[in-house]
Amino acid sequence: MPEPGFNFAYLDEQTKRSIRRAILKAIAIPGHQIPFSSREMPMSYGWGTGGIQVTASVIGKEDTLKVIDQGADDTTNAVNIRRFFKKVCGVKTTEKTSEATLIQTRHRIPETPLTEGQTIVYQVPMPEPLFVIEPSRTEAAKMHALEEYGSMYVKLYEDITQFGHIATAYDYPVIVDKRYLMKPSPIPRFDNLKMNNNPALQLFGAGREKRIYAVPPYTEVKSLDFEDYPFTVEKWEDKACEFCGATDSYLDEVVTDNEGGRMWICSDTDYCNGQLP
Amino acid sequence: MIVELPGFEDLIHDSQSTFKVLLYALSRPGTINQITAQLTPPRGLNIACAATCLTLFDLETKVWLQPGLGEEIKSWLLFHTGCSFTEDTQQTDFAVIWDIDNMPGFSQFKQGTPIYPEDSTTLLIMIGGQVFSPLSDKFPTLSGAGINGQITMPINLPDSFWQQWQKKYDSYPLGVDVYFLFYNGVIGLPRTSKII
Repeated sequence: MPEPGFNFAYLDEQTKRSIRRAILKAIAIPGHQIPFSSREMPMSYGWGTGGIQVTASVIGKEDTLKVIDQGADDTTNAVNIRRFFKKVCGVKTTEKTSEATLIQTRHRIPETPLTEGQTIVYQVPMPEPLFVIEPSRTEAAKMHALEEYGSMYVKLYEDITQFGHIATAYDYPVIVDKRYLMKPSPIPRFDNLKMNNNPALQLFGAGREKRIYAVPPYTEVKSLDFEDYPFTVEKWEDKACEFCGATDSYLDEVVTDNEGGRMWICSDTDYCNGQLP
Repeated sequence: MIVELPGFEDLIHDSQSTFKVLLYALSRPGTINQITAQLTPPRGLNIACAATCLTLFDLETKVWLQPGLGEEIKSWLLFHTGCSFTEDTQQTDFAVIWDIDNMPGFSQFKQGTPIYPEDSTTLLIMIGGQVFSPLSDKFPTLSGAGINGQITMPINLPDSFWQQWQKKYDSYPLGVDVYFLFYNGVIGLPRTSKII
């Protein structure tokens, strides 16, 4: 049962309605950022207030919620947000990707492939991909309107001239549905491929920056690259997860002592547990 | 006029479940989706359209009603949502349409601007049972965001509708989005859907 004294899912109905309208527009124009009147939430900006507001506007009492932070279900941010929604909605929660109808995530996409009917909500710190090139939002909005994304390619090209490869490791810019340049939130580029043609609905919420955007199911999401420098993802050559032995998942490097000892483990805890014998 | 008909029985969860259906309908264009909320709509609105209005309209939205939708509907919407009404299709956020054959052209509605393409009209088009005549070859096939490969639009619409739709696609990302509403069913047609 939800805690008395709060509206279901914390937000008032009026706020939910305005956010819902923004979400529908976001789906109609994939990758385009829709401004919304972000509310103050009972936690600071930077802790996922955008994602929480999107989740609160979508969630129903039949939903099963999973929350992850860097792939893990048991880190502070994930535990807090899961407990928050349990308190204000009384919904079922789960750590299993396959059981969840709604997944809120900070900086990872689960390894287990998402399915039709599932919705994944990303917490976004900075939604504007052109911000690193054009600090003025007014100018950046014009560049989006004119589809003027050349400078983003120049930035990646500068990486190549300097380092010999594209050095952007996370929040790697993508083009959605052949039109809008979009930031996928700080997921590792390993996850970029999962966004493409995904059967699940992907929603993005940026609370401080007051923007919502979306990628509908089965929509093309293409990571920027060059013909001679195609997009690549991280590889861990001869490494496997120390717990489950997986070689196909995103591995975190964990320093274990002062002598430089280290090990590699799955970042996605649910996937890791599922691989254990 | 005194409004006698109630709105949603359970405001919070009926709005949420209806929104979830609208969300699914728009993100999977061409699929038929069922609204589960129960209500008695005023004469002239079907359940799906009434539920959609209650879910999306509020003090911040401007609504255009196609002529022929009576005073009863207007006061019902005003009482339950507080929305404002406009006669000007170029100004409206939502348009409620009951007669697709005589609706204004898409270009008569708000299209958004290049910087704010979202500032556009959403059309709520009520359709009757006659559109479900058996599937035929002339039903258009759509592709685009939300569609796995391609999908055949399951309803029979006037040719003029599709001619306009095709032409409108050239101005993407500007344009209008459409919901088709019948009994308690919803089909979404976002501006990304393209006839192939």
